[in-house]
Amino acid sequence: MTTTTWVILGGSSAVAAAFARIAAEQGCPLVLAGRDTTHLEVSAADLGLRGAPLVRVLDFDALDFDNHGRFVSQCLENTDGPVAVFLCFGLMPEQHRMQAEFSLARTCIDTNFTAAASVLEAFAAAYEGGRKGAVVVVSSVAGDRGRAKNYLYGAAKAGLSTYAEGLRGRLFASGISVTLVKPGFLDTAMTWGLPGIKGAASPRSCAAACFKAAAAGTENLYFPWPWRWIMAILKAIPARWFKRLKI
Amino acid sequence: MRAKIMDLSGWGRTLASPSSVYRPERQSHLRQLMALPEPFIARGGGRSYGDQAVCGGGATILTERLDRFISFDARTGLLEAEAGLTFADLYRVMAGRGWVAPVTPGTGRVTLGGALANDVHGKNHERDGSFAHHVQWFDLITPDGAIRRVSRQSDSDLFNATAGGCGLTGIITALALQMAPITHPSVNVRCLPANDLEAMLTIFHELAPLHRFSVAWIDGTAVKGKRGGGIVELADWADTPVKAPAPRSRRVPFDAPGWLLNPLVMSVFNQLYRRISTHPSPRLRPAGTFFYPLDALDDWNRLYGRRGFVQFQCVIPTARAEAALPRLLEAAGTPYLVVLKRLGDMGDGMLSFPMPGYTLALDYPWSDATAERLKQLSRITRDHDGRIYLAKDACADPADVVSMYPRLDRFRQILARIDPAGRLRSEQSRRLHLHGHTP
Repeated sequence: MTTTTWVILGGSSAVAAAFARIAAEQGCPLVLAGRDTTHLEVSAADLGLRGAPLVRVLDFDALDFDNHGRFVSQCLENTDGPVAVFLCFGLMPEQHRMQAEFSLARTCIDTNFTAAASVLEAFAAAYEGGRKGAVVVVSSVAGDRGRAKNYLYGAAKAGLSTYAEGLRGRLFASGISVTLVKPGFLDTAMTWGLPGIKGAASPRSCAAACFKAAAAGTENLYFPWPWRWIMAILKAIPARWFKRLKI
Repeated sequence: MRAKIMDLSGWGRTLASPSSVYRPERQSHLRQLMALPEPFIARGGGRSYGDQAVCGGGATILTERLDRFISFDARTGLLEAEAGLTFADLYRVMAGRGWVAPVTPGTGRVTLGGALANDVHGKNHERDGSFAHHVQWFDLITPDGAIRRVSRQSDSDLFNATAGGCGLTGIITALALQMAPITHPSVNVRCLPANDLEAMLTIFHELAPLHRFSVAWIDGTAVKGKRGGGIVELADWADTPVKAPAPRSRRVPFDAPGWLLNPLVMSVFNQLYRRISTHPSPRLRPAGTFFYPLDALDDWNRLYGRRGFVQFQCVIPTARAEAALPRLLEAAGTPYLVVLKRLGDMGDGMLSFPMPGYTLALDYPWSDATAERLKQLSRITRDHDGRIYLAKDACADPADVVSMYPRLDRFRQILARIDPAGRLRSEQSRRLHLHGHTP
């Protein structure tokens, strides 16, 4: 049985980098996709030494929708074996800046949602055409309910989460699992220095949970697990009270 | 890039200072930080015991996420890696393939950059020298923003100012380390008992040169007269493999109460340790547990509670050791941990610690009485032509450094050339006037 090749979308982010290391330690070939290819070339060398038999670096611009089809073909060439996707790119500009300047909000929405949908639709077509693999989508608890303090990012992530659920339904017939991961606070550059971040989990621990969930074909994963209950409570608050909360 | 305001201290958890802390995740982001208006210092594993890796009132730059392997040449054993890579990670990836770092400090959580900045030594200094000896080149971002590849051939002054230079010449971003080949990551260890200091020194003198690694643990709570007694560990690389235990580290989850580690508890611990640890015939052990004994317990520094602790580590030249060691142990009071090693030839680093002789390390819970005691130990060290290890130091004063490090003037000259505005600064460099002027 050939080992699964993992395509890491958003290869420079801390969680994606940690996931790539775990996959490398398991002996998986890798494709690192992102814009900073200089950075990714060094990462490729690092991952090779950590156990990946082969690491390719591909240029990938999330917002360059027209080229996603070609990008996916590049991911799939070179191997007949299973090709799995770890989608972990995102953008979280400050809410107040997005409110002041809609073009920034649009970039946020396009990066977090449209770009993800675009590239995953291309993979979906390949999976329906007979390729084997799996999909892991890293969304966010922010998508579970719209909050005044970050609804633009939250809305994009909400879109992504619903998309992933639908994709799961579509690809079930092709035997491809779609794992939707909703992390709470993670200790990455995105949250570093922000006030009020409590209990941020390490990128490595999140990546390990994602890898395990993918192997098991788990559908939904909140990470760390308490967030499942935190969000359940938040979702249960009636709207006429929720709208008054300063969160 | 956002900064997080944090109170940072060293491993001893004393001398905390507020600092704006940055944690770049890419080399390009690190380079951007060189334009910071405030003074700054790099911080790797944060395993120096005092205030070497804290810039109070300025910026501290964490290198921990810049930790990739860059390349490895299996023919020559030359490894290139980013400076944030830890010894633990290096060991985990390379030891099974037959390569180890030729010199490793006592904890795997130290970064390669930190190891160069302190020119660390291991249990094999007499045979293999200190860390910088095995570094062929390093990439340094100097305060002017330039990135230089520094080797002994290209700029020996800058090389030797950086080796042991406590991070004050710039930020080390990558280095080339000559790795050492091994057959298996396992060692044969003998643990010989010594009744007193004289017996211990005899074992060191006669047997240590026959082995690659040697280190002695001294019972700091032993009754006077038997002072200096303990166990000498002598080890060599083994030809047979041994199964390594599953990597599972336990963590101390909270600050222990101040009364937990006290002289009575330590005395009992020391006596038990002595009883169970002696085995004169060689035993096969995984190299990882021999090199990094304390790493099995993460955050063990929290056992000292909120007051924190300090370590006094000095080296005494061979000729003066027989006179100095008893005096040091006499003045030592009740240290909680005492470790003795032999050191060999001096390195070329201007502030490099080792010299041929014996190095003694003493751990104490922090208190005013401890501060007094450390001054006394420092005086004894100076009187016997020895010096203090800056990687562990939390209390020395500028006069100490001037008398203990004869190449300090040369170091200051290089700093004046490389960092004329004094942009690189740590609480330690301020305290010890390492730049040569009161900032």
